[in-house]
Amino acid sequence: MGLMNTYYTYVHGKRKEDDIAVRKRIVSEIQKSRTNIINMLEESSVSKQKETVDFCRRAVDELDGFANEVDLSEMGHRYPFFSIQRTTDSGAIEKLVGFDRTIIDRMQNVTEATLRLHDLMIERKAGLDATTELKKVRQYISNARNAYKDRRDFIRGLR
Amino acid sequence: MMVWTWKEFDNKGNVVNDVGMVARLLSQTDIHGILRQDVIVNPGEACVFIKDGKIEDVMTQTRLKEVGGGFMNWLRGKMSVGTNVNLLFIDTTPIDLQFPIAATTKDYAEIKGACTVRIQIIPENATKIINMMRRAPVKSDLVPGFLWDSVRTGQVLTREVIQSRLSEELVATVFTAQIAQYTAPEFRGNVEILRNMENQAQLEMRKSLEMWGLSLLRLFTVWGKTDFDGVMAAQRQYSMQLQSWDGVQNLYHSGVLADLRRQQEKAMTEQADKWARVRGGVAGEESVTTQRVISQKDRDQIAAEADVKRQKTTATGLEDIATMRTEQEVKRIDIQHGQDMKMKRDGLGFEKDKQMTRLDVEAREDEQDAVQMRRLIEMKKDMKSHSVDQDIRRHAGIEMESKRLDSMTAIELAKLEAEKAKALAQADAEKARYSMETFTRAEDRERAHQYQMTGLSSNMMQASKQGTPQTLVQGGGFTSTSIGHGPGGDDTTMCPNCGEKVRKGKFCLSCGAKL
Repeated sequence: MGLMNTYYTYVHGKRKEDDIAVRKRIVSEIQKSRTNIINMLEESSVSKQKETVDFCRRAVDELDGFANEVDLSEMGHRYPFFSIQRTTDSGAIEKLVGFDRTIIDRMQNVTEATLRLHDLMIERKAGLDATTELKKVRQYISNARNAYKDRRDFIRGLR
Repeated sequence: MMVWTWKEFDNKGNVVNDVGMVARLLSQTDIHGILRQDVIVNPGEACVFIKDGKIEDVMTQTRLKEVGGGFMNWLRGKMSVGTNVNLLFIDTTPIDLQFPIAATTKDYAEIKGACTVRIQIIPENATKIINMMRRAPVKSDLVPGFLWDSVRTGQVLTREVIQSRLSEELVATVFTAQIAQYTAPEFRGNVEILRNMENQAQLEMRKSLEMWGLSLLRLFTVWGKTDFDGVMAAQRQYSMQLQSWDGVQNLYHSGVLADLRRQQEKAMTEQADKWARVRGGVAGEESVTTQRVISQKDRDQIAAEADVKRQKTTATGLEDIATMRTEQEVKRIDIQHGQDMKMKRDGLGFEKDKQMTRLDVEAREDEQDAVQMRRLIEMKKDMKSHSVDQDIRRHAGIEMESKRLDSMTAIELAKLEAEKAKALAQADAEKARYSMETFTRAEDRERAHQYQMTGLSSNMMQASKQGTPQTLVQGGGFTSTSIGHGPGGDDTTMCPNCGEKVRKGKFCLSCGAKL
């Protein structure tokens, strides 16, 4: 997991800001993946591979949906942790950190996968089935999206 | 603590003076108020925090405390000390922009439509929207109020501005280019065209969109009617009207035509009968002229009947088509049909005269035909007799040939019979050679031969012995025959096998069988 601005730890009075930092990081990964896929779309459009173009579009749609979901989801706690109104045990915090790590890791994998796939497309490697690979990429995105939903559900439960 | 939002809402929650605001740049002094205020950034909004001319942070869903100025800040501004804070508020929800399309297809047909482009300002790239804001055209509307001050001085970015920026580029690189690749009929319900347009927009508009921090989410077009559609619709309408009109006309005329046909057939039959009577001498003194006079009367009568029927048919037809046609159309059709009827009646009279003449001609032609027929029959007879002769000759030839073939067949048959007999004899000989009976018979013959030889040998031995001489006494009771045999009496016997009279012994000397 990369460095995140203002993502020190879940400390008193900082929870909301940390949540924003995590979400910014996820959106950033989404944007990177989106750029890579748009590059692939351009590549396949020039070489008139209709099916690949179609699947690129679908992957982009999935990413847009995920970005929107991340942008407009719940922040987290109504009150800061360890405040008078609210106390949280370390197990819950650990689980939340686990969710954040999983989602960011998965999105980093998506970014890496799209980058490598684009490399292979540029090199026109023999035996490359771009459509299948894009299907897998889309599956990874959906996977990360599902993990984010789990995180959101967990936060809802914490309230 | 009072809060301040960048969009002004009335009590009902509607945006005040909604000019399609997408972004708004506020200086510190624009946030009025003597008292301190907090600024709220809601979901779907972003706030770029610009401090001392530098972009410091992009915030979403937060509450900015004590940045709204207030008396102390205002006072510091007056004294030219402290920090200068600018806030750029941005709407990060998806924005739909409408673009009219008017282009020419591959087959030079005009096509129109309305394209919806859905874009979004990404909060992460929200700072890039400043590129567009700074160059936004200045509004000059004299609308009182704080917001409109901002609009006039180019501090507000509206949808119109974005639309005008994107419009020309979209038309040039996407709409015209893509539409020119397809023919007019291909546009009907073709999703692929829409997809291609969206892809094209993603690729061609990428640079501009990224420059302004925008992201293209969707692009789709609702096509208007093309010239082709117009033509097809008109054709369809025309076809339907034509079918309807045809149906009415068919209904109307079919009855009339049927009547006319019946009348014509009747008239022709009657005329033919009369003419037959004239020709056959049945009519007596009635001449052809008289017949013509009668037929003229008939013709008038038929015409009158046809008129009555037509009127009845018209009345029935009118009831049927009353709902489908206007009165004028019916009248016009009626007049037209009356003319048609008249023409047909005239045609019928002319037809009858023509038939009379035709009958004369036919009579002459019949005579000529009869002569020709006779000639033809004779010719045919000749040809037939000639054909019979040829047949006879052919049959004779065939008979001779048949005889010749018969004789040849007989010879061949005889040859075959001889060969067969020979083959049979050979087969018998071959068979006899290997037959057991033949062998037994040969053995018997051999044995008989040996026995005969033994007998002869014994006889020779007997003859070589010195016997008592026999005295020949001639007298009564003796014959020359009995003399030769001596006193031993009769020593011969009959062979049961071959019937020969042989000397007594164990075996027959003739056939070798046991005695």
